[in-house]
Amino acid sequence: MSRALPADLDCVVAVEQVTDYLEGALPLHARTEFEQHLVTCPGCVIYLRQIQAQIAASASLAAERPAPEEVKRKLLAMFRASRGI
Amino acid sequence: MMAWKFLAPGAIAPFTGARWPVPCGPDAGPWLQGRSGEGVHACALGDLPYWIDDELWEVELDAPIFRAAHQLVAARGRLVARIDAWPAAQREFTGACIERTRRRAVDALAAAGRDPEADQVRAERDLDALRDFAERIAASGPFVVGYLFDAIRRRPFPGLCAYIAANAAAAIDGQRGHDEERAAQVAWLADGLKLRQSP
Amino acid sequence: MPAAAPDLQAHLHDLPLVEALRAGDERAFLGLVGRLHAGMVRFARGFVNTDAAAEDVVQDTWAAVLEGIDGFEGRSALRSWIFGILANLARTRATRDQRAVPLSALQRDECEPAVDPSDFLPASHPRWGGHWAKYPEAWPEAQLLSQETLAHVWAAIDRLPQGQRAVIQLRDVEGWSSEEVRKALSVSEVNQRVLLHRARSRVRREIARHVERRPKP
Repeated sequence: MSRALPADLDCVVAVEQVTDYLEGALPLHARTEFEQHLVTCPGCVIYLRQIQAQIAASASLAAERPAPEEVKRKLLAMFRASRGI
Repeated sequence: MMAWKFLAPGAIAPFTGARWPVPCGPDAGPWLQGRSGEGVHACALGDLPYWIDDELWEVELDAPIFRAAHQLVAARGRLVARIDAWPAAQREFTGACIERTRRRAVDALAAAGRDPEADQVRAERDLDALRDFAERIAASGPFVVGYLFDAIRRRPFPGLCAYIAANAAAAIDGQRGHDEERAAQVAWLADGLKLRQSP
Repeated sequence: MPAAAPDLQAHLHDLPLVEALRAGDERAFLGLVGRLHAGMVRFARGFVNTDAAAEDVVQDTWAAVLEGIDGFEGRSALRSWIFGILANLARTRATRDQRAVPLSALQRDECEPAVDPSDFLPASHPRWGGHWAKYPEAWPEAQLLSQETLAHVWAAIDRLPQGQRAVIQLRDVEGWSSEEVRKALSVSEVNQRVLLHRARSRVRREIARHVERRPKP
């Protein structure tokens, strides 16, 4: 960025850290640098919100479909056999 | 220990999304414990420009408290009072960052012997026009002129605008320039919002 | 972030169920099947060629679970253990069926960046090298949960390489903790995170392509 200062985090690096950040896997110093970048980068804030929205959308895919009746019958028979019923 | 904290609207921690309990009435709000091993983060006066967000709160921190990069970390904290003058003052704050950056740009252009352009930057009252002019001459001019363009362009984002101003100062005078600009930002916030550094 | 019960709680939660299964409690067993079966089939399908093969592998997994339940020591959550068996059986079946790995999968660059590099300014930019050339567009929340977009999300997960698909399904779709996924898939914490990172990055790109394709006002 500015040539006069030691390099701050840029967006190329920040987007690679998003997963670690959300996992809580960044040590304090790195986490602070990442958060500092967010304060100064609306673009990366949007990116982070996109990932969070995506995770929430993914969670809504976990519809619990019941197992087909035939499968349940087979499994129940298996269960009984295994328990000596 | 008294300190300050910037939060997203609704007293929400901008990164964790945690909701800080707000005070009811004149007393401080309930204590908020930091999540395991992480503590709560807050600002000493000098840290403020690094964490700008929409709501500014006076907070009380409970020991143990230690310093990390540009912040205080405490075991727990509680909101004491909201600084009502913020975020209404954001526009003035970014305006001040832009003006300091403008002065630096004027000086740099004059030092480069580009007086007509220095005069134009000094005189232009309309920020959008100044922005456009700065953009036009940025490629051929000192770095700080490009940062002037950026600072005006990004004025809807006060944290970013402050960061740009600090980098503009660094482009002229390295770490010292950066620190001077950040100190000016701190002074602006302290005076403009009547913040008192606790003993 | 998806909320997952801390692992200790999950294990304590499992004990009565494990006891019930050992005691031949059919309702407990059918309850477990009801909770896990669909997710197991989906998971297996990420490894094998056909729906039928996935069903087979899941069936075999239940058989193995019943065989092993008496010896289950509870060192991981029950579902971690079950999915661990499932992953092994699915991989074996995939190898046996000599699942043809698509050429595109072999060519995938292991060091592929999360975001297309052309979205950022080049290092030669005087002030903002490495920063966004243009800020990404915020996604409208309502649209993200529409059936159409969800179908795209699911299709994107479907297209992931095996390891990435497995991790993102268990973490983001099923909501498992990283610890549970590590145990089920026998991967290290770091590897699990790398797979998750790559998976999420690819899915994000698919969503962006779909969501941002809409005509702008």
